[in-house]
Amino acid sequence: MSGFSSFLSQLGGLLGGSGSEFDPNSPMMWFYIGSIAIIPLFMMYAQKFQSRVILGEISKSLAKLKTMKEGARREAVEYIKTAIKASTSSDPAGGVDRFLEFFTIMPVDLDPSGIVRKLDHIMRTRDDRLRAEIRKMCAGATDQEVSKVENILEAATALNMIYKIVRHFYLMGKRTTSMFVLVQLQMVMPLLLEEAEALQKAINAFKQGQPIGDGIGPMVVGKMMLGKEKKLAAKETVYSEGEYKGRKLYLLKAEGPMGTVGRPGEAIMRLAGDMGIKIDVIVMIDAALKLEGERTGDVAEGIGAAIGGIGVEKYQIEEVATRLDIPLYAVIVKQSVQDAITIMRKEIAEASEKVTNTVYSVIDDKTTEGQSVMVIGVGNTMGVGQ
Amino acid sequence: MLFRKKKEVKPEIYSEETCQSCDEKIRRKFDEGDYIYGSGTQCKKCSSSKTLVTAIYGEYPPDDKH
Repeated sequence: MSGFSSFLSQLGGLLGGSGSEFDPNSPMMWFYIGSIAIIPLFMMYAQKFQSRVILGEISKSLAKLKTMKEGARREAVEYIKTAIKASTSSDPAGGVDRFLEFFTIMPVDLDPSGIVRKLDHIMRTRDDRLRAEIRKMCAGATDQEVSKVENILEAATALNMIYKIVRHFYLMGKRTTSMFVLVQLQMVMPLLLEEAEALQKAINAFKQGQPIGDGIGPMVVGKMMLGKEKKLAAKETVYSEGEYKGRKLYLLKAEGPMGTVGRPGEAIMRLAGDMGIKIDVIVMIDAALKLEGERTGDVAEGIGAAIGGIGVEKYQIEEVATRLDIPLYAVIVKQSVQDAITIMRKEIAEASEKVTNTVYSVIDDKTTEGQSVMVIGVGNTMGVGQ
Repeated sequence: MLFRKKKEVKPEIYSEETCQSCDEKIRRKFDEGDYIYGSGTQCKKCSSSKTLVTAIYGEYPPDDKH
């Protein structure tokens, strides 16, 4: 015991005490002992404590995601019940739930040759099936109403999927107490929450048929099409013919104000391929993701097929352009993911004039009189007519 | 404040109309059923009914970084 006392006395000296003798009545002495004793505890259990803290944080975010996905489902059901008055289905909740769990199996990519054709076939089947399901749920609804419901349900499905994936990794991390799973989830959580919030806001825009940031391409081309005859180029895709400084213009966009992106790939294959319309230059206008630090609504021009999505439309446009040796020019409007799926921001709407001028300057520079130009407004044309 | 919760900022949504006769532009609150290049209300300057909704957008307060 005397040995232990002398050890403590020395320790007390090291930690700033007088060091002369061990005084069990000194509260500072016990504080020092406690501080040192806690170190091995942390060495053994630090990771467990950290896991607990991370689990707590993820659990809070998961609860937020759950509220969002339940809210989205409720809003979809309410919208079908109240806004689609002709709906014959008494309670659309069952249909909405079925829609939320709907899945698509991607084609096998072991032999990638011809995969785009397979992908196109699967995506078309999916679109047709979903549209048919919605029509069954909202019997008698107009095309525009059906497209609104489709967009709302797609946002609700995305929210449901985010929630289920986060819950999967949360429960897996909890079960295995794997720090690696939990830390990765914690790192991506702010981005996932941001995306989920954007999807939640997008539902409001879709319900009211308001244009979204992604609609800047159709907005620019829609203006060029005003007062001209609109012809059907492909499903939900229209085109008009115009003239600019001796050049023939073919203006193409999804048919608005429905919430659709149309089928520009199929349209260009039909116009330039099957119908044999001679096109010398293609100019595509689309919304593009900005990098952090770039300003929303900035306009830039470049080369290539400016179109997002799964890749089928891009492939079709590139295929026609390469086969017929047509140069592809792109004009983009920069915006964040959130801006692209929520109500169009003022900065984006104001960029439309600059985009129009850029398109005309590309036509001036890259074509001569007598040539033909196809201008494609790419994006969701919700709330944008022509 | 360091730990103040971020307040959600909702945008004001406007429809911008342009008169096809006198080119007058007016901005009003968005009404359900409005769409870009759809017909607008009567022009207040020349009373023409040929107005067109030329833009619909959400305006955030100036300090919102979004």
